[in-house]
Amino acid sequence: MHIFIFLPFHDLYSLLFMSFKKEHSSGHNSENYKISRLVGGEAFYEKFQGVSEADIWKHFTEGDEPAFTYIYTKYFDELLNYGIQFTQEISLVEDAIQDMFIDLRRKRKQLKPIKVSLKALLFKSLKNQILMYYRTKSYIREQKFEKDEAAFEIELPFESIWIHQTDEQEERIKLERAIKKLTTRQREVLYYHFYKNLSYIEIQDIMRLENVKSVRNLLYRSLAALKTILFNLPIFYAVVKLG
Amino acid sequence: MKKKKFTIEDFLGDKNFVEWVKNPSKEHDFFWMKWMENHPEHRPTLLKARHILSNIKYRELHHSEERFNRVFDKILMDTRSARYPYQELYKKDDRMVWFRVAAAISFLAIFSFFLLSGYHEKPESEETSQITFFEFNNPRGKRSSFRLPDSTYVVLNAESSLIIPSDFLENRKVELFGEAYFEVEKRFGSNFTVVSGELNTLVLGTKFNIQSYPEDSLISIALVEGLVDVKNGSDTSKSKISLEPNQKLRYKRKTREYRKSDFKASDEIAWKDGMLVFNHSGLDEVKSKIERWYDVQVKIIGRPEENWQLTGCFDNQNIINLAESISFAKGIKCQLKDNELILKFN
Repeated sequence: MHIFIFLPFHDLYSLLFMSFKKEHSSGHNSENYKISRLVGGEAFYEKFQGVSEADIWKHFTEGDEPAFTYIYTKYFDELLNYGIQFTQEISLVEDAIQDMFIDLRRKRKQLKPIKVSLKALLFKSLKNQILMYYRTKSYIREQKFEKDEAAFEIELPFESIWIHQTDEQEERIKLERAIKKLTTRQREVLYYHFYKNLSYIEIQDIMRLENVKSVRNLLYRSLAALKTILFNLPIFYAVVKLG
Repeated sequence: MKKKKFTIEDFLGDKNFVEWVKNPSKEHDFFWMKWMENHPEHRPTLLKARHILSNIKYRELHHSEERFNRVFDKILMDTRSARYPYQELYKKDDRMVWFRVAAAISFLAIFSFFLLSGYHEKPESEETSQITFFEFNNPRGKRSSFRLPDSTYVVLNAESSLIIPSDFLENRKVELFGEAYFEVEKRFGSNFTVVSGELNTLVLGTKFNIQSYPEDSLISIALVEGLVDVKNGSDTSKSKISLEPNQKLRYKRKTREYRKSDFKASDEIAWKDGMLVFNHSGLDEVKSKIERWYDVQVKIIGRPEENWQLTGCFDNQNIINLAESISFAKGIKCQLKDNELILKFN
């Protein structure tokens, strides 16, 4: 960490302790922690508290470095987790984040104000970047991503209580096979809806859909497909019946 | 609300509902509990939807400081990754890069200075400076993680506290009440000591977990990586016990007995990743674990059969899912009321 270089006085450790403290109680996100992780964290956080993302973006396009640091700090984990939905290769995702931000920084003066949301903008940029790598490698094409079984893969955790039951292995295989019947686009839209809390407009932007209505249609068709698949499985049915 | 037939998709498509299942909070719990009370006819559908949603997961990566810093540095250096498919359009002016780096560094310096000045209250001239202590303290239901100034990584469990002296960098000795997981950075010629009750754990650079709740009769020290020595602080002799990776020491406070055994890292330290694990746990253990984890009171009605045990792992589950799973697996009634979880045995 850079911070230690500049803090030679040891009666200031209280400050260090505090600024590195991270809380993850009861599933809440740790935004405060993430913001304060960088040098001068508290100051950053205060500087941008209550500032809208559109304004932070404006600061960024005007060349404000703290604004960039804020954006990077806030979204790095989220971008990384988004990127690995496309590929298991983490180093590729890291490279994509690097190239994407370098791109944004180099042409920051020409960037337009945020249309939908900062999150959607960053997700879209990262997706483009990753698909761009794919395009230039002749053996994977963008169309292929649509049929890519590994993209937006859904894992069904059996870690819950029935892990020790006898026919676990067999059921797991059945379930895994069944869940593959969802298309990549269906899994993708479910990811945004279940995991990223994105609005229809944001999803429309990222998935390049025609309008909000087509997002809704895609989402509800995916939900119905998911339900049908899961309810055809005896183990799932047995558990659910309890309700 | 209008009378309407709700389908599973209606629930799954509802943002509020998804938010409740994925990031449970008291307010959400309250809202949906009330909703179920008012619409008992929709309860089964709702529970089915929740079951589907809570069993779906996508790939996930936990935070890595190293990755975060590596990518950040590369961005500031303004160098493309090797994967970037196009030729750079312009040649970088080297002086420009150094200017940027210098700017970034001075920026960091100014911020640190700014922060320092605010906290720099003690006069520097004090020769025999007093040692003060900092305390990290978690109440029930809350876990936290942080780094110490030597970059030792600590995850502190619920209802636990860790005390650190102000001269920590010269004398790396901390005191623990409760449970914590440590990843200690190696420093040449400097030990790291954790005091927990009467046991002192001496380490160089390792990963390990200590559980030592004052009200528990056991202290348990589990080593994941490296090597640690455990000494009894009240024992003046120089005897010590060394642990090897995947070994665990259990110490009975009353009888002062030690026992070494092997352990599965996945069970012992899964809590630091938000997993609540029961491994052939008896009722008392189940009760105290749930109480600490969720900050609730567990009340037991009736008597379980002898040798009643629970085995299972709850990965970031909320208490409603937990209660449901237990009641399903063990065939008992679980009821959640305010801050009380009631387990009913027949």
